[in-house]
Amino acid sequence: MAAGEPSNDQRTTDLRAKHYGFGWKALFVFIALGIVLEALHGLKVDWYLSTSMSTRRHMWTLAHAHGTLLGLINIAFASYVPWHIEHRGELHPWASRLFILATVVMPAGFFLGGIGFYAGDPGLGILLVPVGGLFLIAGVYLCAGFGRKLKP
Amino acid sequence: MTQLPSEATVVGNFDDHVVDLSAGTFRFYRRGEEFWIEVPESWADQVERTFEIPSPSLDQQVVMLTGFHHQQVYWLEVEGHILAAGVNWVKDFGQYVTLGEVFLKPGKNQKGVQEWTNNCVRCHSTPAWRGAPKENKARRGSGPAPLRVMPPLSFTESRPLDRFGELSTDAISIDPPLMPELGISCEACHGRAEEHIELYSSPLRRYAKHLNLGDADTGIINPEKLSAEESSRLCGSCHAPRPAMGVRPKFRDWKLKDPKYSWPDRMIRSGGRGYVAVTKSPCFAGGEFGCLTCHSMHDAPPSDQLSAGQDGNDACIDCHSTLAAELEKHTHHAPESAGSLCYDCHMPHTAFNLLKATRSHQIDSPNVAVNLETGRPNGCNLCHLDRSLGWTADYLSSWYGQPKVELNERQRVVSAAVLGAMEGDAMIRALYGWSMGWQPAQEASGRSWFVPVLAYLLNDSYSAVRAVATRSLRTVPGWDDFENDPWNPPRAGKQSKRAIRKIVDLWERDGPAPDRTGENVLLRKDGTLNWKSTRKMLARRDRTEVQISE
Repeated sequence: MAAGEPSNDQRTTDLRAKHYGFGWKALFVFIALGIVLEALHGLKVDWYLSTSMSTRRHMWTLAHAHGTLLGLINIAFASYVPWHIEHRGELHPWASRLFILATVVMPAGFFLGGIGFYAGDPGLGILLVPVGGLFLIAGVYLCAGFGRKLKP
Repeated sequence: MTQLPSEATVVGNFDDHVVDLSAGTFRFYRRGEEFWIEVPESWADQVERTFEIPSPSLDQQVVMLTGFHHQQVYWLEVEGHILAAGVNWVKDFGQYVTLGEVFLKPGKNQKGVQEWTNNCVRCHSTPAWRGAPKENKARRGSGPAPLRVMPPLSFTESRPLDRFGELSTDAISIDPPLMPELGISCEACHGRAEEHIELYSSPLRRYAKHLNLGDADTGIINPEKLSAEESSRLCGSCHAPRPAMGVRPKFRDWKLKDPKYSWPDRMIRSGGRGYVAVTKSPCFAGGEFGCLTCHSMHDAPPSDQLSAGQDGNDACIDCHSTLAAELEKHTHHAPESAGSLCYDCHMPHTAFNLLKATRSHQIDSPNVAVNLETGRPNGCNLCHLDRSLGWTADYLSSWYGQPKVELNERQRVVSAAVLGAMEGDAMIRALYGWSMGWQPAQEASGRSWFVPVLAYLLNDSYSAVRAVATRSLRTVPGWDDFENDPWNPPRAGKQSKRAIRKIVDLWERDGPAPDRTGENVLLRKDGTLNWKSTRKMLARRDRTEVQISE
């Protein structure tokens, strides 16, 4: 470790703080979205509830669900980091970036796909969803330790 | 509308309801969620004879319904045959009626037992299955009826509609539940959807369509994108007299001489057959006018399916724009009155179905000469019930330059509605009887003077005329709770005369002074009925048998 560089412990702490913070913020945003969607139901808002808006409802519900889930994944990742470092060694630097990207891109794709849509088909924003999905699965892959043995 | 029976769809009374009809005694009851009918032995006997099904049970479950807004028919399954129960629920009368007696035709009882696949299936389900008549006559033995499926429209001349020609022509068997879709569903108008579904299972193709890229062929018909003529032909696959329906793209005009469908000048008079009428309208010749000009399948109330705003003059003024500014000058009626509604003069109620007069869909103008040739009432006298043909002829001549017509004394003086209701054939009696309950006509010509005329119609030999008269009488102030079962065995002879006199006496004694008097409306100056005149009129009644095919 070179002088001036943060120690491994510090990097681990920083990474955990980053993902705890990001994860809880993501939870806040997407739970709030869920509350808003429930309010739209409760208030019987026509541009959300009319029969022609089923694609919008579907997409925004998926945005809420995926965003919430991804927030939890970030929190889980933060908890996982020290174990991985202790038992499998250094985490790939892209694991963190991929989880953050997935948390932004995938729910954004669903949400944008519900703003403008084509009858039963979501809007073009939906194209972000598979991209976000790839980010997510790549991040999970990097955590899963395929081909890596546990440290003795 | 064809549906499966449920709490939401059954409108008839099934609360262990027993009713004696001309066809026999029926009991309507429930078994939990199911709807059952105990049929009379006469019905079972007919089924046994017609379909060679030994001893069919008298307790039959209702498996299907047709109708909802006005009437409802109940279908029973017997050894694979879907048969009409022989009764019809008439919604606004709140009663069951023998099936044949809801039509404008003489006598009682529908002959034989109706089989779904023999006739009704062609229009009351999706797609409009149509079979060769020979194959669909009552079949012997048990088992479902094979149908030779033919396209509802056969198009060799118009490419967009060729898809209807892609329907299979192999004979198929039908297992209950019966057909691909009950009722008039998507494919009835949009054609078979397999190609469309296959094309658009690809998201690339779907998004190319959303973004207006690529091939415009959607693999399915969109009637709104067809020409007025083509889209109207789609409607005509059902909404035409049977000889003109379906397979032949151009109807055979000579078939329309049949009085079951049309007036002597071939104007359609059977309601629900508007396609032929529309195509004979001058508006249709311009190529822009068709069924979808006024009607919408998706954006209109289900009962008449008139598009928003098309219940007024907007439908006509789009093309006849100069008349909008000169409406009163053209109609010679106050702008907000029924006389200034294009429909009332140019599409008067001269067709009949579902126990009511319906608008003719052949756009035409009132003409007394045509009245005389065909017997068909004109729009003026269907509203101005107290006026004579002579009165109408004078105004049509003065306002629109129509040639004078030769009329006899009675035609010049006596109300055309009275003449029609007393002396006309059953169709004309039904039309005038209906008009007496029509609010615009009552506003124009009074609301009570015609009660004696209705009294005679209440005792008509045609149940449909009696039904129409009952409904009309209930619109007269003081008569809204008038009790009458139009389908009770008709009174005849002295019984009939007593019944008529009873109503007239009640009207003379308890009613307000009639709002019209005079010999032109059969009333003396003191407002009492001139019985002698009515007897003379009855003696002149046209008793030609009338049967309107619905």
